[in-house]
Amino acid sequence: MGLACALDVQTIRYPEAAGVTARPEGCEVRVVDWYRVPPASCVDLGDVYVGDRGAAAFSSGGCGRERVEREIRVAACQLGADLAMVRHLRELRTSCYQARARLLRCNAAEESAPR
Amino acid sequence: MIGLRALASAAALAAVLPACATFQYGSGKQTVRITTRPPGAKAFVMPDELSVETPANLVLERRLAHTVRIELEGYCRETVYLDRLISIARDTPVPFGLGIGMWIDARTGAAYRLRPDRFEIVLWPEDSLDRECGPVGSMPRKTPLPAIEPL
Repeated sequence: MGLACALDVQTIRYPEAAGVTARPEGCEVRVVDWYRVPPASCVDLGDVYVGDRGAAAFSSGGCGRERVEREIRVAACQLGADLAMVRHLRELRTSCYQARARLLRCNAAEESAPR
Repeated sequence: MIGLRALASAAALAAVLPACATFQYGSGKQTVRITTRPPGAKAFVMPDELSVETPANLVLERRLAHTVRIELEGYCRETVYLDRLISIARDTPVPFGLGIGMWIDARTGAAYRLRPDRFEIVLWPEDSLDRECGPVGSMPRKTPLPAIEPL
């Protein structure tokens, strides 16, 4: 039995996010690769970092990719974003999946897959 | 009796030793060097809401991820993401890395490092033939420039 996993979630809100309302909890967020080009209509509202807080070094349980993506989706909804562009932060010193993601709001009409 | 005392001392030392990162890095802040070509751009650091003119040394908290926006009139805006990673000093000495020292390092921020710790950004003019302005930075030009009126 290991220690409970501690993930650190840090959301950075850009000035463009001022006035953007949060979306409902569990809202739909598309998660794509960081290096793809988003549709021109998308606006960056912020970004989020999800990483190992320290205690997670004892246990790999509960800080895998799925949980990290879930945290990213939660942060996106809170910020009012509907697209997350995710980059994996690889590190030898942790067994946790760590990631940085751009959070964007795209026009509903142009919510097709990024180019 | 002496053996027990020595054992207790060794255990206490083992618990505290991994706070090496705090001793090594002190305040939990890190200096990040930022330069741009051309110089004189405004760099805005989030979430710190710190604004400086390039070139500059930013003193930032290690325990936070940061985003730096670089703007200069007539040029495309660029964005740099400073990621928070675990410092090698946190795990030193490795066999004793399970004590309160790790907790101290995490609390002070010394357990972490920011990457990149220095960067140079080339700013592209808005009317560059090669690149166009995107939401967070310049990217290869896909939209043709407007035709030049004949004299």
